[in-house]
Amino acid sequence: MNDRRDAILRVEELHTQFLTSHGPVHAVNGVSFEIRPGETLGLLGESGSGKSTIGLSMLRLLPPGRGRISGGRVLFGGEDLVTASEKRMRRLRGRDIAMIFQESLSALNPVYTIGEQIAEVIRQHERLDRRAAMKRAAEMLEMVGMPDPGRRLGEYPHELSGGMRQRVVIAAALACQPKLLIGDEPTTALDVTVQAQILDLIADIQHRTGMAVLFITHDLGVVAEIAHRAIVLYAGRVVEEADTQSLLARPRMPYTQGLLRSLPQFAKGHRLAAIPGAVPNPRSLPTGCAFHPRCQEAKADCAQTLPALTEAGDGRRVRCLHWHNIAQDMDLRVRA
Amino acid sequence: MTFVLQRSIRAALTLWIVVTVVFTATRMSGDPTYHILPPNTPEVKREVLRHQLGLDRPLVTQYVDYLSGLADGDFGHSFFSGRMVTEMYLERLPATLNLALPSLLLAILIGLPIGTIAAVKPNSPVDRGLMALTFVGQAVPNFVLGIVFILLFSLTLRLLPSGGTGSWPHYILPVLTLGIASIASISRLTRSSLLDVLGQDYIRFVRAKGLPPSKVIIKHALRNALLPVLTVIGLQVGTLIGGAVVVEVVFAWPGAGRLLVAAVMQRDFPMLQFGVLAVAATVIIANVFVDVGCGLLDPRIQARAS
Repeated sequence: MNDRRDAILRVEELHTQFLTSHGPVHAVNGVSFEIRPGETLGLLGESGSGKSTIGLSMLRLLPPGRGRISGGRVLFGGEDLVTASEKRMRRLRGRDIAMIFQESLSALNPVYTIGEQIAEVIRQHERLDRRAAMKRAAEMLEMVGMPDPGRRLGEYPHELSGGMRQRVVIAAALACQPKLLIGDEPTTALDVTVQAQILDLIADIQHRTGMAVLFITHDLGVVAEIAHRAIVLYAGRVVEEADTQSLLARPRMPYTQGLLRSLPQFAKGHRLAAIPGAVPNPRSLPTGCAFHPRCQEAKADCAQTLPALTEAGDGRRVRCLHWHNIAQDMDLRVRA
Repeated sequence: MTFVLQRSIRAALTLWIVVTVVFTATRMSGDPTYHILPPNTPEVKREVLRHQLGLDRPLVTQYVDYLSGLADGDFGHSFFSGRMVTEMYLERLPATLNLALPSLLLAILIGLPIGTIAAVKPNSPVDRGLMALTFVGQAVPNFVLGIVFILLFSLTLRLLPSGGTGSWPHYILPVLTLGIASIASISRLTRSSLLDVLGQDYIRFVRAKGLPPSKVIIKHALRNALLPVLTVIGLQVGTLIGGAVVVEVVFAWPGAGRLLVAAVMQRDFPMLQFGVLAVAATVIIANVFVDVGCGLLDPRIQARAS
């Protein structure tokens, strides 16, 4: 990774809330991170952690009238997307920042051909006639590994398999060579083998184009496979950030440790242990550290003080009052 | 090909059921000779008339005779005028179509935009206002609406004629009266169908591609949302032709609807049988058009049909 390059995207203290009949619910509470060109950042969290909301906030695609950004900045090449006009956002969406979603099987409109659905994003952002856009659509299909792309252009989504449909979605997302791709669990609905192919495909395209990737997932295995760096979210806050290697080898935050211990491929001969309890309701977050009711290492002060996100060396950040003591423990336990 | 065959068989079956139900219902309604002959006609004369009309034969014989007549394209003669019922009906049909078709057109041209506007800003004051109006439009029966219109625009304001035909102002009140319920149901269905589609995953992806709202709604959402709306438009054809019966009476409109009302009153069995059969056939034909339209809108339907 090249740390000297400037970040292409910098999220600063992002707050997002949803308006419900019971009042506002804070889904994202002051999240900050940055991504550099060519880098893949994993955004890891359970459902309800606010990870998808962050992705939607960045492109300002929150459900109108219900979700809103209540604070912070999203700086893309120096421009704040939170205050940008809707017209400006439309220029950026699909051209500079592309987003693909979890629901790969339903992400394409059933009544238009796949060629049309790839070509329309090209024609929206570039001055190309229909034929040239279709030609580019065929090239994109070839790039994402579709056999016989010329013929596939005229096919409808229901004529393709799930993996092929997700390839079409990626082709449409990348058709204008965006600088940043946001993937919100884009492989979750797919079979494991297809999932691996799609991850390889994204990594391969990134290698060729140098785009940055924000990969939102609940799956540590996916993060291990594709991300250079990872951020762990809990209850709408960043609780740990590190490069993927260190995060998996020496997690500092008890929550991350719990996530690792609950997965067979990381437990290394230890018994699998689920984290007790459930993700807190964002309507009534626990006082102090939001994780303390489920934390085996919790001390009395954890319920009182919200820990700050502290530097933990090697560019790592941890949100835990006692990470210094606990970290030693975990290292010993994993080695034992 | 099997698709067309299947549809034809189903249509024929539907028509047969309609014919049978109407045949049975008319025979249960009483003796037409009491309406044709004066009240104190001697029973012998009634007997003669019943024989002439074929009503003295067993019901099964009458039914088989009627069906074989239908197979030959003979729909029977009116008990009253003795003329062919097809001829009498076709004479009056244009007036009914002049009422029903503009109403249908009005319902589509007003209903679709209302539903779309309401769905684009759900729960806004505009949406609530429009939906309250359509609720009233759907709830008020058209004979009440017709009478209120006549009271207001003809008798009080003296702006429009209260009935009859002639110039184009004669069309305004009957067409509106007939069409308002259809405007209401088309706009309500368009709204809910469009809201449903706007929540679909592919709409979010289209937004993420940077397309403007007009393209998101008209190109991507509306085409999908139109499928159920088209089905209901097909059903409206039946509702409008049925509703025309009432509206024609209220506005003294010389259409086929009034012919049917008279046929009911007079127990003119052949006329009534043909009238109901004609309405049923219209609805079936409208549904064929709907099926073709759905196939044009959605490639998945073509795939299933072929």
